[in-house]
Amino acid sequence: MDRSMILLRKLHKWFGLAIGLQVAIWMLSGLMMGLLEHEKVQGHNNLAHHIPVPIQAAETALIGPGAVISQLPDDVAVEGLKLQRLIGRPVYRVATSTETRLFDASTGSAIEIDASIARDVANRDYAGTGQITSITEVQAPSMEVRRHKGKVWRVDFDDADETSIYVSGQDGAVLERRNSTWRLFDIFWMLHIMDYQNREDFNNALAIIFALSATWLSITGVILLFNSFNKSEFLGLLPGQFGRRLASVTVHAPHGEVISRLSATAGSTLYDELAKEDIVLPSNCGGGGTCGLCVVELEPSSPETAADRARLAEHERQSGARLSCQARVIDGMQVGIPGEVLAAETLECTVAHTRLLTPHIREIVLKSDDKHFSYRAGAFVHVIMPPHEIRFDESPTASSIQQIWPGYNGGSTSRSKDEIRRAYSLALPCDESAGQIVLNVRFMPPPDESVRDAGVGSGFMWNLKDGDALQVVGPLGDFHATDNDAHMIVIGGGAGMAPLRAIIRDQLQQSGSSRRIEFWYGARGEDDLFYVDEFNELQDRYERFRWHVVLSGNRVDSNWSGATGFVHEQVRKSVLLDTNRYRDFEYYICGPPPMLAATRQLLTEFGVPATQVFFDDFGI
Amino acid sequence: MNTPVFSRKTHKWLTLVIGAQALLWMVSGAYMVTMDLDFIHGDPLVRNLVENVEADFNELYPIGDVLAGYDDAKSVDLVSRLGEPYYVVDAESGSVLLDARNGAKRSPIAETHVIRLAEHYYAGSGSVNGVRLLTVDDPSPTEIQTRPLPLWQVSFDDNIRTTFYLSPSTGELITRRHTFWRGFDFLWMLHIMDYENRSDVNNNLLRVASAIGLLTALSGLWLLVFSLRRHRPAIDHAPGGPPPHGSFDDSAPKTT
Repeated sequence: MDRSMILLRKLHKWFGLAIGLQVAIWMLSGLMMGLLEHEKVQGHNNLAHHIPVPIQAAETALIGPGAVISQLPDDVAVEGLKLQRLIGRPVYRVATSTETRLFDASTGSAIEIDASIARDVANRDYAGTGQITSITEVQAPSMEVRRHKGKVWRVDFDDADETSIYVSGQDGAVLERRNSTWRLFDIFWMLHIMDYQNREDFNNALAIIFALSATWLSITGVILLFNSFNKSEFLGLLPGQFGRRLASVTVHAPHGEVISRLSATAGSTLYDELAKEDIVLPSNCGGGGTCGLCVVELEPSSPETAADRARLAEHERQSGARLSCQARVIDGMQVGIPGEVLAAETLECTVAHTRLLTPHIREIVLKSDDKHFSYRAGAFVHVIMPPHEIRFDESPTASSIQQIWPGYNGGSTSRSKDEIRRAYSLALPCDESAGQIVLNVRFMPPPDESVRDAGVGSGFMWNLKDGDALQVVGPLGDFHATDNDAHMIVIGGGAGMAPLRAIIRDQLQQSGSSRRIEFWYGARGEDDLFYVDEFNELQDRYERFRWHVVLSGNRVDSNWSGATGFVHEQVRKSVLLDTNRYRDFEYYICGPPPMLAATRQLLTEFGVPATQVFFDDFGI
Repeated sequence: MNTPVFSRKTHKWLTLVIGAQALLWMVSGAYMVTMDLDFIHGDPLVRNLVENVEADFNELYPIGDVLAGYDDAKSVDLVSRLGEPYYVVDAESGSVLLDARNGAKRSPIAETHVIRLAEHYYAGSGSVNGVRLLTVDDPSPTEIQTRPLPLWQVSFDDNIRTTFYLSPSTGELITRRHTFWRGFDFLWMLHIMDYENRSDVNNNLLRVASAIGLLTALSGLWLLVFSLRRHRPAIDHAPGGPPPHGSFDDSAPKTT
């Protein structure tokens, strides 16, 4: 979008603000005038049709025009004289420069149009079922007889249309036929032509100003229309993937975690494609590029639009900030989105209880104050950690840490100067969590002697005591089971257990699914295993669930009867080489990065479609 | 989808459907309100539509004798044309023009007389450059709408291409047309979307289109409500502008 389009958009908006309401009124009144039957508006539905009775020379002794004209003042000019009928009798209608009068064509006597004549005229004109309820004299012009002058008889009928027939007080002609339909129509007409006083003059200044503004509004609107659509939006209307090129887009949370990988339509608006994945960025202009709220972070080299330059500072753009409503999807796009955008809420939590599952893994159960917190199995949360410095000798887990940290000494610490966030998967399905947040946290000693401090996230988590308060943001993530019945191969290791456990329990006990699930869990030694009894119990209860432990460490006990080696190697042997249906299976993987990478590569080598491989690469 | 986005998409797609017609409505409406209606009606182009009847009413051919000649007369009108009194008999079988002094039949009116009448009615600065009798067998010009033929068509060489239509049976000026009237009529057709008769405001096309138009306008207003809300301030591109805003991302390194 270039700068002139931004200007047009602004003009369109401000003109819309100025006259938008009137445009809506025009549309509404136009619609109503189109809907109200013209026949009824005109009162023609109640109009009587008479076969005219010719005026015969013989029927009556007619006097000549001269006898009528002689009754007028001498100086008056005659504009016309007409022999016609008034309710049957022949009359002369004489129009002069000042008035119109009727004279009896037989006697020459002047005829005064009184209420009784008006009644007869109206009755003769009217073919409806109503009766006359009143005859009143009005002085024209008035609203319903605004095009006439002088004395007029208003004859009201008691029909459903509330008919009023207006009879001229001068020559007995029917001037107007009004009814409730006309009265309604007339209000819309007034609103349409913007003459609120007389409802007659559409050449008024107000109407002219508004109409010219509206012309400008629609010109800008039509120009903007060409700018507002791109080809992919029309392709989106077509069934299937016709004409569409798919592009893979990776969405990151502010701290780098992948929260979604989506398959989007190349060339379409990034904002829309994110919205389809329920990643709804804030927007008040609705995608017009004018509010500047839908900022995302792209590669710094991504193209800039004039809208970006209008709303984002140079240093922001240089670090990749762009308006997602203006950015077009390209394959391989990496998108960083603001944390507050994630469909997540901030929960105030307290630590309910903790326990050690293995020497390295601590289960931490949090109570949230939010009764409505819900999530899909496989989701993760961010734990918000304020700036802190922890001395482990004061920690409730000090003795455990001592065992797993060779370089531990009394002064060992974990510290962070800034508030940080760490992601942890939820280890139970929502329906089984009883409103609690269950996390598995692996303690991370320093990689070698040169580093003094333990990992900041795990240090903080291992220091928590019952009753401690903390903030959690969630749910986040897109690691979830599909809704189909495909055979699930679940592959995990370490604290990667957490989301897999939630997914497995959910699939077995909550989702109503009947799919087969095989769980392959890799650990170094038997003392690294946890939730063992639970999975054994599930295996006993559900014929369709099987779980296998694969131990890889050099500490494996000689009486270990299970599989040994790397877990992905075992999957290769027992699944991929065992059945040629493996391509139909779905694979759910979560574990330490080397194991995840090896497993993904293995599946790729065996030709498992990427759409059947689901993984979570940070939940450890 | 968030609400502003939904409202914008609604507005956009509805405009795609109705935008062209909305533009036509606005352009035609603007023309109609800016053009003086009396001018469009051709009022400044005519005069002498009503003349005073200057005659001795007692010496006129007897009206009873007129009726005797036409036993299906609905009315008899005494009018003046070019200073002479005439009877216009409106009969079931058609209207006739009679000399009111001697009862002689003067209709149908001949071409030379039509030209004289047209020039008499004409208040413009041009002169007659074409006279044609449109008979019932001729195609009816769109601009006379539902008026029945035959009619005399008299054109003038003024710059707004004035055309008069006169009745051959009464000499009455039935209607007058000119360039701006024709433009008005064409735009009126576009405005009410009755491309056939240019008169039926109850057609379904108009009803559907105006309903969509209404939704378009309402969605625009709806969008406007959001558009006026919070937004990032525009960037001042001049050097030394205000300090830049913080980015949303504090980009903490990914560690465990």
